[in-house]
Amino acid sequence: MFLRWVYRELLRSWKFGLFFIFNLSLGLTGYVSLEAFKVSLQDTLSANAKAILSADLAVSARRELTGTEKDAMTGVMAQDSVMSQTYEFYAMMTSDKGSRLVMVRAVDDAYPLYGTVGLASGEEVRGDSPNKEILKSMAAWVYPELEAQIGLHKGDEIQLGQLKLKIADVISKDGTQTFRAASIAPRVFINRALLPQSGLIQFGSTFSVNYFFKLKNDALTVGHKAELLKVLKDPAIQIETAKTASEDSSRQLGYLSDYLGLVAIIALFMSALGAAYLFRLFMTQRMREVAILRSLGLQATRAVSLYAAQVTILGLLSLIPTVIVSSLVLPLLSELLASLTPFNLYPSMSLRVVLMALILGVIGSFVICLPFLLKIQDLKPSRLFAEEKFSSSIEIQKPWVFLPGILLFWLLAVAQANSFKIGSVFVGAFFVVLLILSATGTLLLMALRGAGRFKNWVSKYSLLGLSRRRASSLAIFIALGLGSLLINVLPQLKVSLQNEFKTESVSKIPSLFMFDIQDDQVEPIKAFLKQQDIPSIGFSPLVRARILKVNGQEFERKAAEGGFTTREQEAEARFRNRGVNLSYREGVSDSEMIVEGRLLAPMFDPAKQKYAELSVEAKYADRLGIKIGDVLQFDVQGVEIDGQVVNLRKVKWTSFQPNFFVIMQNGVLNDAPKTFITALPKMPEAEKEQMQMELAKRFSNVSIVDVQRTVNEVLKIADQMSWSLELMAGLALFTGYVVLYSIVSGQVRLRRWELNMLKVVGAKFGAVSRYLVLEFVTLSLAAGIMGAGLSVIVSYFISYYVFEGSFVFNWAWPVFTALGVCVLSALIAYFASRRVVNESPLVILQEER
Amino acid sequence: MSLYIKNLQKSFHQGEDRVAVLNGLTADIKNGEVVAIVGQSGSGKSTLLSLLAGLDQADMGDVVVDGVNISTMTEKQVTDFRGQNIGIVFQQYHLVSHLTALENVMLPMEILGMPEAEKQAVGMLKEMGLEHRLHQFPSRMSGGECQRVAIARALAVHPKILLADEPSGNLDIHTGDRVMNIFFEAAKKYQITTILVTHSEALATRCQRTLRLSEGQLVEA
Repeated sequence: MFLRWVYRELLRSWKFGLFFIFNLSLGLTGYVSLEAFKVSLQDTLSANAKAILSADLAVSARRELTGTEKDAMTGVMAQDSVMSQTYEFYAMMTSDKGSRLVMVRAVDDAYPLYGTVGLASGEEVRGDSPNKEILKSMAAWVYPELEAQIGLHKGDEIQLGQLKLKIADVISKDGTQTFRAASIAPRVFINRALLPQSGLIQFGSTFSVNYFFKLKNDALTVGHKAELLKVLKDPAIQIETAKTASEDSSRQLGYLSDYLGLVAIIALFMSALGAAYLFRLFMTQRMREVAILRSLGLQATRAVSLYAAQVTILGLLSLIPTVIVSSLVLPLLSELLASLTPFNLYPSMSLRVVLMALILGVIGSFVICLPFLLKIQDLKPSRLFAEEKFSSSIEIQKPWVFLPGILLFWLLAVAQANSFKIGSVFVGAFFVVLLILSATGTLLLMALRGAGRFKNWVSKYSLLGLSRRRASSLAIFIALGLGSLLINVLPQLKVSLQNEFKTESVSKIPSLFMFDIQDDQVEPIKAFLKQQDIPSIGFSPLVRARILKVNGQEFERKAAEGGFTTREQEAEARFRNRGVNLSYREGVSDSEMIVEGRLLAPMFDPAKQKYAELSVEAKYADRLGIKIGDVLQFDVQGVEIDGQVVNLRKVKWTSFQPNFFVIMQNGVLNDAPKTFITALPKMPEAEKEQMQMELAKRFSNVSIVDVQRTVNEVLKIADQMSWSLELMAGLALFTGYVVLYSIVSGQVRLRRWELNMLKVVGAKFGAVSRYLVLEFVTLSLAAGIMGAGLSVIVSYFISYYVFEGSFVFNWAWPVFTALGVCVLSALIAYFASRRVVNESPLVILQEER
Repeated sequence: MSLYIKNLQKSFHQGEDRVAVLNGLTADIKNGEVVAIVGQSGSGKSTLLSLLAGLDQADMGDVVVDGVNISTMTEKQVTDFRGQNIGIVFQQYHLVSHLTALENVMLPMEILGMPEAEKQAVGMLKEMGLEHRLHQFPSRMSGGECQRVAIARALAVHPKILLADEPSGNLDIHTGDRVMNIFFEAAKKYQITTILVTHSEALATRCQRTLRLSEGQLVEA
């Protein structure tokens, strides 16, 4: 009986049902497509886990392991494994055709233990391949970027440090590369045995040494890792398994999808808003019937169940279009995102994703309709006896009924961002925006009350109507304001980011950035630069160290076998588990600012001071939980040095000036073994190329970064990423318009007789159309301007606090968006209302018959 | 304003059949006359009213108002004509819910661009005994009050013809009587040709003439 009622009701209200499903599935589509993409990425990375690490287990460090550490490692691993050892470091490569900073990977005979290195000649090099050309002669394999960037080809000669190498082949596929951003410095593979004669790794050089192990039995991996963690205690030594390596890669790529996910949630929120509005409208029309049924003896709970079942079934049915449309959207999303990874991704709707969509569709539908379902419970059938017409308008008086929806929204945001903090800040910011939009919307509607003074009846009654139908007017205003905000934020941020680099390139941003300069190379480089008439920005010393203790507590390695739950945990572990580069200088540079504490005293005085004074970069301090007054103990190449934090600094990293996370007071590290970094100011392109070449030839171990080229690469990657974000924002806006269409059509249906009444009392059809369109133009123009205005504020905060850059106001986008939103809304209102506006007013009499 | 109905025919589809509701109906109503139309449910009273108001098109026949045949007018022309000449009162009042009583009455005057709409609307509502309800929304008013606002709205543009469809059908006897008194007084005062559709024989007797709609024809009762 009950199910028959539900079935009958569904059939009877099939138009509402279809529109509800359409609204909901639109929001679910973005979310589900993204989830499917993520799952497919994770699956691909797990399937290639061993190839990504090129081992079962790897031990790596940014310094040579000590003899004891090597013995301990061998003690654990020797019996059950095959080992391969590689080095990785940045170096300058020169050739007749130009010079470039490259990432050198020096490999041995056993490399790669898993996976392959694909060469352009068609060869697939494996660990057991017998004829590795780079190991037999003075040769190298290079990444294809070097072909594209400076025209190097197979057979050309390159110089790396003291080594003259012939390009034996170009690499077409590197199984260990998971993120294309790494191509800022293209890889060059050489024979590890050549390193001693290359002069590339000297004291203080930045490099990492990797010991790869292939185990005889997979099952040994976890046990061996645990053993290694026990014997290799330095947090700066990384121990990774294939599984954790693939998870790391997945997380790196996951950052983008996290943010995409947040935009998808907004689309989901808007579609939920539309679906909820439709349900409200539907219930408005059904309340009288419910009252009649109640008066005939239907229990309130039974009545609620009837409509709850209907909503649940609709949520379930929304899965069908969601899955179909997601299958169509997925290739497009994959196309955009897959350019960032070398893997061939074939995302599909896995059972897990379908189940997730199912749960979200059903629970989501129920939660968004809950406030209106509860109104059935509160409905008093006695209203049927009221003298006036049965007024069924649904106004929610108990705000708590929205709590389950808000909770679900928050949970989704935290899950999507993989961060409690980001998820919560996002939801918080979202509700602040909602609050601002509601407040301004309310003010606007209050101001429209003044329209009563207008002479023109169309303007007068259209605007008065807006102000008096507050709930629906506000819903439209908020949906449009949000859409306008979303579509504006990304272009606004992009302009600011681009301008930041552009402005800097005119003034302060250096042309070249040099690191790994040896102590004894400082004077010759200075002399060379003076001879070339180029002022250097100054040489900053860099001393390698590691933190031993914070406030007397051992600073231990942080690891999570099952992976980190949130982004914050992961970031903390990453910062904690790596060494720290110390520097010393007096005062602060142009690109930094003390945000808390005082300046470092000019010179360390051991007679008066117990601890050396430290200045710590604010975000670094935040991640490691360091505050002013904390005492940090460093191991500086075997010597323990204590320092106390006296200030926290904010650094503008995009200035590309030499900057450091930790700066120690002058007079402590001056005699410690160190290298130097420096930057050369802006110079013309040709001069820069020449200078880079000369420096690389004379000081072959020094690494030189072409800053502008790096910036361009970063912007290119940012462009690729922002495309996918814009796609998602577009989906959110499209959802906004579908919601608008739903609301407008619903409104027009609900006000059908009102519009016809205008015609009965003499209004022309055109005037009735203008009456309706004016409402939506007013609302959408105000919402468009408000959303665009808010987007400027939101972009300002993101630029300032997240990117720490300056904000540039771009007027064109907000104006374009506000007008675009207005024009589209007017068109939607016009088309949604055309049928009703053009029908004969006879409908009023027919309704009465 | 006189009203001449000539050979009016209107039929509807009912399943596969076509049912004639008005079957060559002819009637002549004089200027200022108050006429009641009675008939059984489904006899076509509301259909006739919609044709007289120019809200629907007849299959055949003419509706001639003061020598002007509205049956041959375009939608635009008939809308203009109706706005200026015909007032309609519905059984369900059909007030615009988000407008106050005063605004509901002002609305048709403003649509026609009549001067001093507010002053006239206030006067009209006072005449209906609603001076204390000027700024109330329909949801806050009783059925009788709503119907009085609806009558005020219909009379606001000084129509030449007033069409009313069961104006007291939704009201109790006492309120219905009070509303109808006002209705008849106004019709008399403004000399409006009035056509009242009703089931009530008692109400019909208060009109100058009663016509019965039966088998698609109007006959004197």
